[in-house]
Amino acid sequence: MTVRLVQVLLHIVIPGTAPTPFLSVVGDCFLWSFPASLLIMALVRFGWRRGKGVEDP
Amino acid sequence: MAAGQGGRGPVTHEYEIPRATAARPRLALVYAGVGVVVALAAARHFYYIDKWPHYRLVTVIWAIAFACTALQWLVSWLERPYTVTPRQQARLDLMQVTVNIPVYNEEPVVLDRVLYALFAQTRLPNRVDVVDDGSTQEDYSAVRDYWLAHHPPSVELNWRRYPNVGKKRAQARTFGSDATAEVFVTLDSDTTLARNALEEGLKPFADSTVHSVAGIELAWNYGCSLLTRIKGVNALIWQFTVCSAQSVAGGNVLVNRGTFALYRADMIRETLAAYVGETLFGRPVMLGDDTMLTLFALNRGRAVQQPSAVCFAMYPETLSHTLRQWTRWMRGTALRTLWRLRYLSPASWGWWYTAITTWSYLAFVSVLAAVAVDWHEARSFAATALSISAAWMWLVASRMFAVRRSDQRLIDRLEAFLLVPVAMVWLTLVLRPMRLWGTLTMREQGWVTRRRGAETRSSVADVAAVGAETPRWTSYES
Repeated sequence: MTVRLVQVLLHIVIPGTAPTPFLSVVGDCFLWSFPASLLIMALVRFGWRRGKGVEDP
Repeated sequence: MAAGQGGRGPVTHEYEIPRATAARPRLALVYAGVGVVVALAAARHFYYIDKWPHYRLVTVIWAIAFACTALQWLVSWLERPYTVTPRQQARLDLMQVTVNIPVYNEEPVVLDRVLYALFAQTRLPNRVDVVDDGSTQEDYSAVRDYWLAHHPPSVELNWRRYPNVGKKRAQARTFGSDATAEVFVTLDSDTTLARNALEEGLKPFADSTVHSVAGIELAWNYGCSLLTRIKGVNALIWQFTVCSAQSVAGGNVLVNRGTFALYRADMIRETLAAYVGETLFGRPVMLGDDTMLTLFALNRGRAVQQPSAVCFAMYPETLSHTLRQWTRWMRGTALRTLWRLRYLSPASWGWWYTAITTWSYLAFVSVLAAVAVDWHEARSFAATALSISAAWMWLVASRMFAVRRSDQRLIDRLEAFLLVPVAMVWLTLVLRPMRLWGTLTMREQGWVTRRRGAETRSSVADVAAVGAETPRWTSYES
């Protein structure tokens, strides 16, 4: 009963939504963006050297 | 001329400047309310994780994203204006403070107002350098002659005109020529200081680990158009959530507003060659002046925000100007994001903020592309995501009330609060996608605004030549 009451309250505070299959696509976008951002970070942190395109300030 | 009237009107040498005060909300009360909201939202996220097992990946990622923003919101409430003891104040009073105002095709009445506000400060600077960076559209002789004759006698006022070389080098004219300054203040030529802005902005320097102080930027012309209102709302929320949290978290402010910021002069002198000599694929970097100085400060100590040091800047009033300014900022942001990932400590709040926002931005772009490609399937998701984001931003926007200005009534502030969802939609659907364009074109380092009429972008050759040439300048000194 209490759990149900909390659930109802939560739905009032934040409007709920039914899951849609598109959520899987959203999940994939976040999933594949992670290694992409790691790659950028690694390249920026360890890849660049002075004189290789971007001058070190 | 009162606030809100933009740059129109006669040069009168006397203006009505709004007062701004930083509110001090009762922490216990705030945290009770904020805590309830965060607990309810967190419970909701756990509910989704539990009830939607087929979509666990995305619900877990959402929960993580929520935790990051909620933490930022919670921490931002801890921000308080820096205060000093009488002894520290006495030391600050003796500090040599130099203000640099680079000018390029600014309206004379706006520049006149900027100088009026500067010379009416409760704590006057010791030196003011107005550097006319080769303006082609305006005649400042009336403003210049008046202030050279009427500025406070304790302030040294220099007014010089050079060939156009860009904002960074216009600032460097001052940074490189003032050997006695202890604090450099960067002030845009359209930015009017609240009367106590300098006095308040200096207070964090009582702490020797602080190397830069960001002022709070409000819109002088807030009420001019819907665009200025939306930008005002977005800027206020960003400063009082993201920047406040960064300031509280060990002094990790990543972006000092170029409109008004203060820096330790020694730090500027040490990094001046790197500041003006920065290149990207062989081209001089003209953009991101404020973010570069902030990065230098972060590498030497703490970069903080002073919520009681307020300035009033002119915001773009037309769509074209708004979009060009945003493009310019995003080009600077793209480059600075790389520098922050490279040079900040991975143990710092600033590095983690940059890393997480890099990831979330890549994800945002790919989700946006997926929504566009499969709109039929995605529309209910898009509508829900936008409405939930708007609701959350409304909650976060409660921080907007941390500052009050004398020319706004309660009804004006409530109207601004009501605009929050509109500002969020504008940010999500227009400005954030434009960041991609800024990233892809970050090699283009032209200023892109104020080019109307005879204004032209400095060429690479012009900029490179400045370091070698004997400056051709016209000098006017008090």
